[in-house]
Amino acid sequence: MCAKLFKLTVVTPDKCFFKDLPVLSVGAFGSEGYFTALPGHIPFLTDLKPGPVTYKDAENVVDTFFVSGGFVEVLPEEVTILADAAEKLHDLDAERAEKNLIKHQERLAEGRKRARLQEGDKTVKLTPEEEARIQRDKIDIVAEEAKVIREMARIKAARNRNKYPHKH
Amino acid sequence: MASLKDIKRHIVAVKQTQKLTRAMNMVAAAKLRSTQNRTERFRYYAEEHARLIQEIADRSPPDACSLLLPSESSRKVLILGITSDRGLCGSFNTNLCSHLDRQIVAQRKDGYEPELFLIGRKGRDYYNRRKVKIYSDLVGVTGSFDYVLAQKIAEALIEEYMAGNYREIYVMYTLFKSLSRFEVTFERFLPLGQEEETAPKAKSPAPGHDGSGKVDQDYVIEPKADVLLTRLIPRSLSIMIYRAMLESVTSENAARMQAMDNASKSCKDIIESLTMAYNKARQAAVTSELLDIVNGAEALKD
Repeated sequence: MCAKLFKLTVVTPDKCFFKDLPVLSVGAFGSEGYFTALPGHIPFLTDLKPGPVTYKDAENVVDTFFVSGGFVEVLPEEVTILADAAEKLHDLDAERAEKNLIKHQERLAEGRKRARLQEGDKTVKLTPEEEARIQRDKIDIVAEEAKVIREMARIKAARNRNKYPHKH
Repeated sequence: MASLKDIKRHIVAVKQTQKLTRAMNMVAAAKLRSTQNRTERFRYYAEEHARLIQEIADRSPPDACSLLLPSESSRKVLILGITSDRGLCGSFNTNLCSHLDRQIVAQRKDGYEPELFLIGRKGRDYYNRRKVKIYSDLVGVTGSFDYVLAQKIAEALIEEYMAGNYREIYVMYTLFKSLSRFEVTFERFLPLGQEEETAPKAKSPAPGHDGSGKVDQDYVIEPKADVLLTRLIPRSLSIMIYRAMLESVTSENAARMQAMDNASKSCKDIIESLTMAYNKARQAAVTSELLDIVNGAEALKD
């Protein structure tokens, strides 16, 4: 067997998830859609959506892990993924992700309410708690949206973990 | 000549100091271990990120993002200097401040007005006494900080730059090279893009991908380079700040560990020489007492 291999590196701010792992192929969700890269791929750069990344290692075994956004550089002989965070599928915690999802959804809704209020929409009413919070913290709608999407992707990946090919 | 009692008291005092410096040495070593790990893991990420940003920036129109363009509207230059909050770390802070001083002089010579953003109490105290305008300072954060803080700082700086208040923004911090080597580093924060010869110490070239027989690759970039760039630049700037802070804290702990090690050693030396003096003084006292007794006995004999 002398199929061509290339090297997969996955780094996050906290750790080096994979370093120069020899693989046969890598598949991931880019912001413009799913792609699979094989050795000899032309140089390619894109950002990643939160979601599963699949690779086939030198023994032809397929495995999947989860990244919560980031970006990827494909070169003929290597693939570098710079992820915000990377987790093994069985480390994903659906319950925690769901709690986070609810939290961020609430914050997002509140942020949108505030934005409408600022634009002069009179129909919006804030509850007293929301009034109190408005002084304390700012809500970044774009960031909250990204977090909601990330948590949803995480939940989806955690629920479907057995459907993705992965090592046991 | 000090009396026996004085010397004894001195020895006890120095021993106390030695205990203190030893303890501080150990605390610094423990802190160093954790921050060093964090720094080294993050460093790789930051370097890869910087390299990719550069690749994309080189392949997109120069006006793709306003953060890439030099801003000509102001004569002011902002320098973000990172020092420590606490002292007793050798020449760590003085070193950075003297580099910063030199940089300020150089900027003034070029006709720009330098202003400072200082992180760390030591730097703030130093520049409070000097004739430099301080844009802002942040004290008490080097003990515990996270990525969110770096993000906030980066956002504030970007906002200032976008408003055209500053011509250029730089970061100055102490790069951790090894346990005994730190290097004050001066990097341009904004505008991004090709560094000109203005920076005295340019960034080291991105690792791995230059030279080594690789042709200049043309990337397929999805979505368009400029779209991708505007998504990535704010993040890259936060990363830069976070990294600078991590490097600085790591160097600080290493510097403190070293300083405390030296202090413990000199305590040991002092104790040795004092003990010697103590023993000599005691022997002298014993001898003179003996002489007294012998002389007395001699006198009685006659």
